[in-house]
This record gives sequence, C-alpha cells and structure tokens, in this order.
Amino acid sequence: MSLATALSTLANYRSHNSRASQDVFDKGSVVLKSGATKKLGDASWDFLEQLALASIDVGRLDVADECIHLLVTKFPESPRVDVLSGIRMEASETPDVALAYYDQLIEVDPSSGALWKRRIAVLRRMGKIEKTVEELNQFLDTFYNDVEGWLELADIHATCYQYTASLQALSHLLLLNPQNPFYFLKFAETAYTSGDLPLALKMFLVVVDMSEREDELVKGPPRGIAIRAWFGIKQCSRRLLANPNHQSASHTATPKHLNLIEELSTERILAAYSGKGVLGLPAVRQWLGRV
Amino acid sequence: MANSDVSLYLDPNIRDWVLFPITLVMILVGVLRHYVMTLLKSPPKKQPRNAIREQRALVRAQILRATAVNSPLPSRYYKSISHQLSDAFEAGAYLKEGGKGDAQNPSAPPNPLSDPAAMDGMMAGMKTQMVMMVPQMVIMGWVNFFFQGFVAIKLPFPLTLGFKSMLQRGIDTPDMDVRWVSSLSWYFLNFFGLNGLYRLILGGDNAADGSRDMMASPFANAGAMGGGQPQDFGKLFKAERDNLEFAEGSHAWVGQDVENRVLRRYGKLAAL
Amino acid sequence: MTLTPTYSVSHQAYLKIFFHAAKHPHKPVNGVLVGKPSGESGAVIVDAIPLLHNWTSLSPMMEIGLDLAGGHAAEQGLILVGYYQACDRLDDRALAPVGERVASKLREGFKDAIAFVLDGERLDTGEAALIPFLPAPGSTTVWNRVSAPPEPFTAGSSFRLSSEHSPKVAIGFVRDERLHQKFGDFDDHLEDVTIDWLQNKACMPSAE
Repeated sequence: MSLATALSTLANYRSHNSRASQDVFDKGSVVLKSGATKKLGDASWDFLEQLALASIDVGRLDVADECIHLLVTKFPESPRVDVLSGIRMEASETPDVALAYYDQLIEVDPSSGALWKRRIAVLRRMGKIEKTVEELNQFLDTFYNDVEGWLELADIHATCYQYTASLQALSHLLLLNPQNPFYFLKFAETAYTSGDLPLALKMFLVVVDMSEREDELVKGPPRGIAIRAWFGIKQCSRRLLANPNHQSASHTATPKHLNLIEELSTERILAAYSGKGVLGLPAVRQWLGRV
Repeated sequence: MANSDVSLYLDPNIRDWVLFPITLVMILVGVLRHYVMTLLKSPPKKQPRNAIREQRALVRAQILRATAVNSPLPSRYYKSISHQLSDAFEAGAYLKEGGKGDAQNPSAPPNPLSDPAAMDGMMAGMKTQMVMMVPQMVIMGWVNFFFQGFVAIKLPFPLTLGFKSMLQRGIDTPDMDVRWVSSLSWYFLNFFGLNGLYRLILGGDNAADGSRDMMASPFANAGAMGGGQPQDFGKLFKAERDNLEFAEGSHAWVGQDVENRVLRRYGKLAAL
Repeated sequence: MTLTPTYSVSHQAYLKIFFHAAKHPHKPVNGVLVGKPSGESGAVIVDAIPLLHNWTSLSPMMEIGLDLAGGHAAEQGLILVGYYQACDRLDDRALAPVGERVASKLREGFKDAIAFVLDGERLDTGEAALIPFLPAPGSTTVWNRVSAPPEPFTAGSSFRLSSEHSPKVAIGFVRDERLHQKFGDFDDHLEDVTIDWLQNKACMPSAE
C-alpha cells in the first residue's frame, strides 16, 4: 500500500465521515511513523484528529495521545481540540470526570454545540436515560439542524419502546432532509415496530418512489435501500391482507390495491435475487411463497 | 458641432504610466486591506444559548412550511408540529428573555444603544467601514492630484452628455465626445470591477472589495437606526403564526397517492 | 420434577458470535442460534446466524431475518433454539427489551429457547464470554440472568462449550488473522445479496 493510496483513502474517509477505525488506524499510524504528516500541509491537522479518534476506538491510547499532543501544541485554545481531549478523557477516566471536564468548558463557552453533544453522549453512556432525553431535547430546541442529535433521540426512544416519541423525532429529521430516502426508511421501520402497518407501508412505498425513479432503476433489480424497502412492503402488505381490519394509530388509510402491491413486491424481491452469486435464494423463495 | 468620428490619438505612455499604475496600486491596496481586516477582525462574540435559540426559531417554522405542499409528513404529524410551533410563538417561549407574554413586554424592540450585544455589532461594523473608506479616499486624492487634466481612455460604449462633468473632470472642453474620459473614471471602473480579480486571488470571502461596502453601508446605517439589526422577534413570531396557519391549509403528503404512483410506474396499474 | 436444561455451544457458533461482535465494536449486534433439542431438556447449539447491527431496536428486518433463518435451519433439519446479542457498551450486560421479545417468541416454537448476552469485559480473556438468560419463573416476557451456581461454562454447570478452546481460538482469529472482517450479517446482506449471511463460509477456518 503506497503512501499516496493510504493518504487518499484517509482523505476519502474524512470527507464521508466514515468510522472505519481499524483501517484508519493501520494506515494512519504508518503515515505518522514515517513522518509524512508534514507533507499534508494544512490537512495534517484534520488527519491527526482522524487518527486520534480511530486510535481511541481500537484502544491504542498511546497513539491517540501522541496525535493530541501535537494538536494541542499547535492550537492551544481551540474548542475543537478541547472536544478531542474530552473524548480521550472519556476513554480512560470515569464518566463523572469527563462530565466535570465538559461542564467546566461549557461554562466558559455556552454556545458550543459540540461540547453539549459530548456531554449528552456521556450521560447516555452512564445510563441516565431521562436526563439524556431532557438535555437532548433542549439541545435540539436550540440547534435544530443537528441530524445526529435527532437520530440519537429517535434511537433512545425506540429502545425504550416509546415509538410515538421516536416517530416525532424522525419527523423533524424528515423536515430537515426531505430528499433523503434513508430517513423515510427509518421512519417506516419505526412505524412498523410500533404496529402501525398502513403508515409503515406508505412510507416504505415512498422510499421506493424516491429511490427508483429513472427507467434503468425501475427495470433493473433493486439496489441499496430499495431492497430493504421492498422486503418491508412485502411484509406489510401480506399482514394487512391477512388482517383487513387493522387499525392505524395515526389514522393513516390503508393503501388501495394491496394485492397488486404484494405481487409487485414479490417480483421486485425476486429480481433482486436474480443476479450472479446471490446467496440465500431458496430461503427467500420459501418465505415469499408462504402465505 | 461634435464630430463623433474624430478620434484622438492617445500617447501609449498614458497606458504604461497611468492605466497600469492605477490598476496595480488599487489591486495592491485591496489585498493589503484584506489582510489588515483579517488581523483586525475580533472573534465573533459568543452568544448565550437563549440568543441562538431565538434567532433560529423562525427558521424552524420556515423549514416546516417550505415543504408543506409536498410534505414528507402525514397530516397528523405535520399538524402536531405546526400547532406546537404556533403555540410556542404565541406564548413567546422562544424569546431570549423567556416568554414574558404580552402584558409585561409590549412591542418595544430592544434599543440598539442599550443592548450590549447589538452595540458590539455596530462597533465592529463601523470599524470595518473606516478601514474600507480611508484607503479609497487616499487613492482617489492621489489619482486626482497626479493624473488629472488629460484624457486617459476611450470608453467602448457611448454615454449621454450628463456624464461629461463627472467623467471629464479637469478637461474643460465642451465638444469632446463623452467617451473620452479622465483617469478618475478609470479609477471608478477599477473600483467596481476588481471584485472579480479579488475573488480569484483571495478567495470568495474577501474583505478587499470596496464596492460591496458602499452598497452595504447606507442600508446598514439606516437599518440599525430603524431597529432592523436587533430584530423584534416578538413581532416576527406573531407574523410567522399566520404563515403557519396558511401553510397548514395547503399541506399535502407525498405518501397520499404513492401506491398508485408506484404501481403505475411498474406497469401494474394502467397509466393515466 | 423438572430437569435442569443443559445447553452446549458448538465451536462454530461461538466463533460466529464472537466475529459478529468484533466486526461492529461500537454497535449493538444480535442474531439467532440454531440447533436441536438435547435429550429431554435443553439444546445443542450447532450454529449462529447473525441478524442486525443497525437499528437493533426496530423489528421489520428482524422478523424477516428470523423467518428466513428459520427456513434455512429447517432445510438442515435444525430449529431455532435461541437468541444472542452483544451491546455497544462494555459494562452493559443486560438483555435488551427487543431481545426479551424475540426470545419469548422463540420460546413459543421451542420450549427451551435461550438467550445469551456477550460479556464485553470478558471478551479478551480466554474464558467463555456468554451470559445465559432464561425466563423468570412464572413469566414469559421477563428474562433473568442465570445465576444459580455453578457459574455457567465452568465445570459441572449446565452450560458448556463443546470445545473449551473456543474463546482463545476466537481471540486469535480476530487479532491475528482478522477473519471477522469478512463476516456478514442480514443487514449486510440486504445491501448486497451476494453476502453469505446464513453460513458465512468465508470466515470459517478451513481446518479446526
């Protein structure tokens, strides 16, 4: 693996915000050791932050400390480096220590969204769910656009069986990103889990509507999240056909033409499994065929 | 009788010793101004959480309304958020001082002179304007002093006689075509035109462009006095409630007819 | 007099649970266990089929995955005998609510269905890191950690590994050969249907 390829992979991870920690650590520590960090110029600081986070993830706190030391020397008063130091602290100290650290920094700079989020993350780790939800709600009331925050809130509610609250959190996400089918999928799956089949089915259909628009996508096998959506459509339509008097908690009308919808979903799923090298087809066939 | 076809022959030295120097000086001064501004710029004041929340509250309603006609949310969810926001606006829950309600705090916008946050903003604005204006004055004086009294360039486009007095200052000829202008007008041309060049050299967000400040400053001054800068959120929130109600009426869910759309696309239902 | 159910976990099943957790250290993961009944009471756990690492609290894909896994197991003459999960937090050793639901549902199909939670703090020791959960007496929905002595997976306990070297071998495979990186679960399969989530043959060592 040449240095150039390693650097470009790392840059790619940075731009996509991926958490491929082991890979980043492997490549990054090589770059660090070989002293090529200087070559990156301005991007070297982003790289050091990335490597520090990856090292903490894989448990190599020594490498993380090295990176953080370099960053602190260069940017002594930086709020971004403060957050990184906080994360490092979370890895080795008790949550109370980390919490105290963040509280102290927040007093100096109450407008920092990043610090507040770390504080909430620590609270969740400590298991203080009620406090986490309370603060997360306050945070999102101020920093409405924070996608991560809304996802986290929806997740917390879902793990506690509070599906309505979870759906409400997801609604805000949908408003903020109405073009992204991924959040519709999450909404659909949460609606399904809460037992609201018509709403779930409608949302699964919206996912498909949004992600399979062009001709070639319609004619070809489903890809990516569309596969999940078609599975969801099959499951919902099947259950609705079996139970026609199903009540929707959100008073969503049951979609019409359920038979056709179920047929179509069967066809699409089989199309997904029609390529080369697909595995698990017999199990899927059996599942599809079973009424 | 001015014969517009008569052309003057301009000494090429004018180009070398007048046009290029003026342009060069303006570019250099612009770049210098950019770096001075970067040094002078104080870090933005940290706002307390309430202030941030107040500022962004309106945006939430706008985000909701923006997609109302093609809304990702089914009617119930949309209405719930809409009513929640509406009630919060009514009660003033998003205001910085924290929902005092109508009785306590009638529509008095915070006085710019007494609100410290706004005061800082104004000082920063005035500081920038100073830095912008001074070099412009100096260059204009310099051009006027050294380069006056002769024709510098010929404009490629015709102008009316009204411009004669401005563009031909120092050259008192009643008959000369308005297209022949003095170096002061070359200065003005550069003043308005170098923005593109600054963007190339210094990147999009540069502080070197004088013309932008000229356009911004009269309005900023007027606006601040009129209470525009420290906005009266109470009033804005009330106005937004009406917008919300209106948008609710036009709400339509993307999922409304989605099953028919999808079935048609795959040929399961006859096309319309 | 009710017999204490005995459970044994095959080497393959242990490896797969371990790989699944190792591949997604920051997320909760879960899956099902397949096997057959063991004598009068209990089960022999032959294999593990991994399900989710994303949105583990949501049910549609879980239900579908369970159905598909059940069908696959039936093809091989096996049944679904249990559920496993690993949490993202090292100190979290509780069975998540969704786990209780799934395990209870499995109990309807197999009376001795069991749930295991992977113990994050014991992952890097050479000991078995599985914590068994069984329904509380008189309840079908509340599950409790099995606490009666002897300690599970020690001598004389009703839980045992069919190969006592499984934990050490698993650590070796993850640390040195990185076999877990080729591991794929149902979530992965839904994005790429060529992923072998039902068997994960590519990660299994060729010779044991």
